[in-house]
Amino acid sequence: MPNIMVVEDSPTMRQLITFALKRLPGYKVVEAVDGMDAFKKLFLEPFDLILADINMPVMDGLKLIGLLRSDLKYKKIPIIIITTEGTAEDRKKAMAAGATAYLSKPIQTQELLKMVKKLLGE
Amino acid sequence: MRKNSSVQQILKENQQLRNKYVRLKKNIRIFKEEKKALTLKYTQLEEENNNLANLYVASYQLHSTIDFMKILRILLEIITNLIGGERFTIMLIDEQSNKLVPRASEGMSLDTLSVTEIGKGIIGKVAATGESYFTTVLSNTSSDDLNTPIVCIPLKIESRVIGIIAVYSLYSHKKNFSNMDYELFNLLAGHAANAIYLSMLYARSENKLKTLTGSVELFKGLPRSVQTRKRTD
Repeated sequence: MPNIMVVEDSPTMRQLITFALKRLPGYKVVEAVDGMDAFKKLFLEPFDLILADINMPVMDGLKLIGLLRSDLKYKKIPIIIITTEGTAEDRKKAMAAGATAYLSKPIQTQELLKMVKKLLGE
Repeated sequence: MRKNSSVQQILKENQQLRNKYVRLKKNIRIFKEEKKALTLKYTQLEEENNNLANLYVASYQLHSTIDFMKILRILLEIITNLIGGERFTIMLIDEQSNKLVPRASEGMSLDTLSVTEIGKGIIGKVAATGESYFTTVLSNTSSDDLNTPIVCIPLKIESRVIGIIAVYSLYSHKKNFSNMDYELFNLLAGHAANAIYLSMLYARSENKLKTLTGSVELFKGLPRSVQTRKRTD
């Protein structure tokens, strides 16, 4: 059963992404409100995929990726960045930080689900 | 003679096989067409399903609180995350001055926005008529003129307009509006208005309750003789 973490400070986006992922049978979704919350939750259980926003309070998405990629335990978890920052420069920055894929808001749910399935090898 | 008849038999079988092949080919073509139509239908249903999910989430969030400031924040979030609005403002009609007053904004400072008279300009007309405004140039996803938004929708409770949402620009990667955006704008026009209005009423009643409770406490604190005198008065 794939375990996915959604890191997003906006309750609206968090609910929307979780709602979409839970439509896929057998998917477990855990929500985190910022990078720090996500980092704490990573100690509690293993995750197969992380979806994270960039602009968040306390700890932003790029910092979270940096922390994860510097730790051997989390180095290989696929991370999808979902953000309003949609320029080529923003994309480059996120990919350079260690993101696996990138989606601009507003997201197309089909596109998101396709990407999730692909990264989970389904 | 026998040889002739066996050749004829083979030819007959051959013809039957040919007919069968043509029938199968036709069935495969029909099957492929049906598959294509079903795939298209499935994609459309998926899209519809996703759109409904967006509308559900937006509506759920708008009605998840009665706190005025939280509702405004949720509204900003919906326009940013679900529509892709980069610069926009929410203006509400001030009951005393009967003018549109900017109450929240994203991507632009509230100080740069001015009070607008109802009936004046695009924004004022939307508030006066209750009719949404969408720019006629479909590719126009940005406007620097504060009097000319690319989208302006009224916040309406039945036919009563309580405010407007004016969008000045979309994120650069968002090139135009989708059908879903129009649906969301429609939903916001009604649901956001209701949520905002209810939160304002709640805040008002809370204030009144506080005043009344204060008065009662004050009254309780008065000496008994004064309370009795007040009652008889």
